[in-house]
Amino acid sequence: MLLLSILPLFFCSVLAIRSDGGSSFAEELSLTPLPNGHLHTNFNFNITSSEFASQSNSSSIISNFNIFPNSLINLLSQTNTKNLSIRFTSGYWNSESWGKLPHDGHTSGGNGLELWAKIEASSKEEAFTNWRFLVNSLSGFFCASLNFIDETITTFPEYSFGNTHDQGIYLLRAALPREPICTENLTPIIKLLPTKGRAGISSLLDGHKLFDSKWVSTSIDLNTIDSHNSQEDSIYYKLVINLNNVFNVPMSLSKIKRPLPKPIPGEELNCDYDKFYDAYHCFPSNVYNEGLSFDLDKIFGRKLKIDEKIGDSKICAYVNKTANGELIPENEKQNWELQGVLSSQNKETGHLLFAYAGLDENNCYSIPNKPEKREEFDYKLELKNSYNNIRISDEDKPKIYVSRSITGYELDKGGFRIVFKNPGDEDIDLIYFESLPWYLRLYLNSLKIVQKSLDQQDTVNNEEIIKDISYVTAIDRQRPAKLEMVMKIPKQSIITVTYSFDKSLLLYSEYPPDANHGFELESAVVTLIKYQESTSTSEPKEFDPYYVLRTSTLLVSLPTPDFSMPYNVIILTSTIMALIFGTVFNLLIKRIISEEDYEKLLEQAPKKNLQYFIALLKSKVKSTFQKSKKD
Amino acid sequence: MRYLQILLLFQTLLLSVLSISSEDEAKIGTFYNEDASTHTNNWAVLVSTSRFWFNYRHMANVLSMYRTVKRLGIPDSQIILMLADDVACNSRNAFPGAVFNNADRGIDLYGENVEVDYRGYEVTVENFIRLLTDRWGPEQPRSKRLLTDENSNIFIYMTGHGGDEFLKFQDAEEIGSHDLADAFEQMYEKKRYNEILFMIDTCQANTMYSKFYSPNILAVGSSELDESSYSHHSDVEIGVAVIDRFTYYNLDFLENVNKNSNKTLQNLFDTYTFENVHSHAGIRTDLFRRNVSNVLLTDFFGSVSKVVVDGVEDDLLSLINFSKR
Repeated sequence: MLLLSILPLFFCSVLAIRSDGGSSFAEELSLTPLPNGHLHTNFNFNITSSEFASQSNSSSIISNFNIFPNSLINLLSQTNTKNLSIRFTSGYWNSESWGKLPHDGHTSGGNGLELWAKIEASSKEEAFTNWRFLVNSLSGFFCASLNFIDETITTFPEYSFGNTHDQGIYLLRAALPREPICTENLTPIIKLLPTKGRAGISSLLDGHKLFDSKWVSTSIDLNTIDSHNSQEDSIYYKLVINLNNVFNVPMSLSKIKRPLPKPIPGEELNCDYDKFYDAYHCFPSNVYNEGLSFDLDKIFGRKLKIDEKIGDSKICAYVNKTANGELIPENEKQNWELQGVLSSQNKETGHLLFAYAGLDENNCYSIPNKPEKREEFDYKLELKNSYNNIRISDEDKPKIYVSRSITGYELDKGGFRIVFKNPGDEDIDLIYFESLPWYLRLYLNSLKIVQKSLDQQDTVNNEEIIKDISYVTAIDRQRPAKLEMVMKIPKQSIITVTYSFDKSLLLYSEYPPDANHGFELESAVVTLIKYQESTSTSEPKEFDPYYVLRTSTLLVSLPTPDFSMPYNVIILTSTIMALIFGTVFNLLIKRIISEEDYEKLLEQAPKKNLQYFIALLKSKVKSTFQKSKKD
Repeated sequence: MRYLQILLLFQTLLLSVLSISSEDEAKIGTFYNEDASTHTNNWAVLVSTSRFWFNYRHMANVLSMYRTVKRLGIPDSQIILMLADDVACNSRNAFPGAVFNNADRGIDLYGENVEVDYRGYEVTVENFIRLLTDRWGPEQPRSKRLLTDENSNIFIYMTGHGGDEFLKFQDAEEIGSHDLADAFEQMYEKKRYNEILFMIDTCQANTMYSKFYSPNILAVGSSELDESSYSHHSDVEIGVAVIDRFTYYNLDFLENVNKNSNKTLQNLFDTYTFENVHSHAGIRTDLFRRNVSNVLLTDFFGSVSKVVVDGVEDDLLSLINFSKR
């Protein structure tokens, strides 16, 4: 088997500031090519605060920071939050062709917005009050509708999300799958950085390009860490921000020429002459065959800026270690080439090529420090060999594939079908986490498990698939359903789990403005775990999570009323009532007579000529005068 | 003789009245410095109430105003931006992360730095009224509140689909002109504003401000009763209309205004011709104290940097020391 290994290239910049009592900042941009012309980019920012005594008051803490964003610290200390994780995600990570998620899935979230936090409190209620305060403040902070997180979507995970079951620490989690992710979410993240997007790799962050990608996933993790080195009981904060994107490079490059996806004009078409070709037929040739060369600013839309503030900035690029820790062989390294081009301010001299040696022994790429002037840097990334050669190695393939779908087409009920596919040669332990809104009423007794081999043959396995279930039933308008299953997926098998639910009718005012769009269900979270080998046989066993993946979100349509119906009903019933009333009224007070009788009556009646009316008027006037005299 | 006495009496009365009014005028003159505004801070509330992609122009209207007030100096922290839907990162948008208000696509309104305070389902009548009257639960963050005082000039801009005395929110609920008038009265009673410029671009917009009764509100609408407001033009690549006529001509004027401009509201109002707007724009000045031809545009669209110091204690430092002791 020809395993032309993947050629991940890490281009990283490490900017370190270590001046004020231990606070530090480091940033890194890594680029990894993916098959079919895709490129994975990861911006990683690490900010650490200086240490301080945990008992000190907030004002003295704040004065200690100049790198660390103290706005977040205030929030954490006000709500007694120890750990906070936020995920903004949109798009789709194609693990079938792109392999494992970056950082083993620990920095990516389900579509939309996901948030979990560990809050120190004396009771669950107090934790929830703090949680509400936290999400509301964060909603103002990150320009997102986090304030919609209330008791109806908040869960307390038992096994997932690194619950440590510490006394007095509560883990709360909620997700908003419908939340759009856009520039207004990026702006506050950039403002958290000490460079504020003006220098370093954060100067490459541009919403127009970042949100024009196949997959965007932003993670913010803020942790309070107890420092054990000093005698004092001191703590420090660590903030890790990751921005992951997958770009389709040929598409990104062609968008610069043609912002709108229009047909390529005939003269620019690059035909595959091996195939049938004439004036009307043209099979486009594979663009990836020729290798790719592009400037980074074509991908990110901006040039890298270096400011003197960063001081001893060091930007380096290195070829990634493959997953088993070995470096890519030297000959394959040549497939990638990275050039740094300094854009000179002087237009006459043009671009000055200041360094070109490629990668040093640390697989890093250093840029000479230019503290005297603010400069812009231009990076050229060249893939000499065919992009077609990029394959995902077995090491980088995910161990398990999980998909979830909705079954049934009725408006009043439906079901879930979750398929776990383990193509590997080891059994896999995992935790399946799902939180469902209260308007889906689960029937856990309908849960069925079908095991098949990879070629869809039914197999019988005596071993239990589901080891443990933690299930919290939903309460209407008060609590979501939470289902956590500790499972073991046997090797070389496909496990299908199904269960059904009823859909409930909402109250008129509970429907969103676009109710006919359907209701988005948050993605399920699958955590792969390894049990710790311990001598004691005590239950529950300790475990370490080593990979996290999420299913896609689901759209479920609830029975939606016709919202103009009340008005229609009112109009219709009033019309019918008016008709009935009119008929009955006429029947009651009018006499039906024949035509002959009518004519007779007409003859008998006094003639209504002018004299008649004058007489009538006279009598009326007379009567009113008499009345007024009496008064 | 009797008539003469009455006449004399009348004359003296008239004189005394006249003298008082001239005295008052002099007082007012010195106090207000010839019709100048007395505000010390500026706020803007910009609301697009329409959901769905085909209402792109409403989002573009509001973002154009956002750009203008930001350009003229109101900081993001004093702008409350409400967008009922996400068009910038909408999958229908051929230009991700960008919103344009003109087919030439010269200005990207979303830009690189935008702070949306209320978005999507958050844009409701309830939240809007709560925002104006500042009636929130304790958990409401400061960045999502209108923290105005009696010295604040507020520019309120609304756009969406409206009708006779109502404006639709999210295609699902309506705010009535009485609701809005009462909210403003509550703001007045709570001393939450100095002056308000209320601008609305909807169909039958002028009906929305017809019920206002609180002082110091200047209201502008795009069309009168039984009249539609029209969009200006469409962008075929985006596929929808990109801006409404009334807002277009407002911007056409405002784009040429800078922070130090001496242009007045009257100059702006003069551009509201039927030829431009294709509807009868309405201006309501009866609640407003000042003459609009003396009111600078920057009183509402810009940010004031004037500081008024009043009632300073003589020995302020000793006071602090005293309180410390």
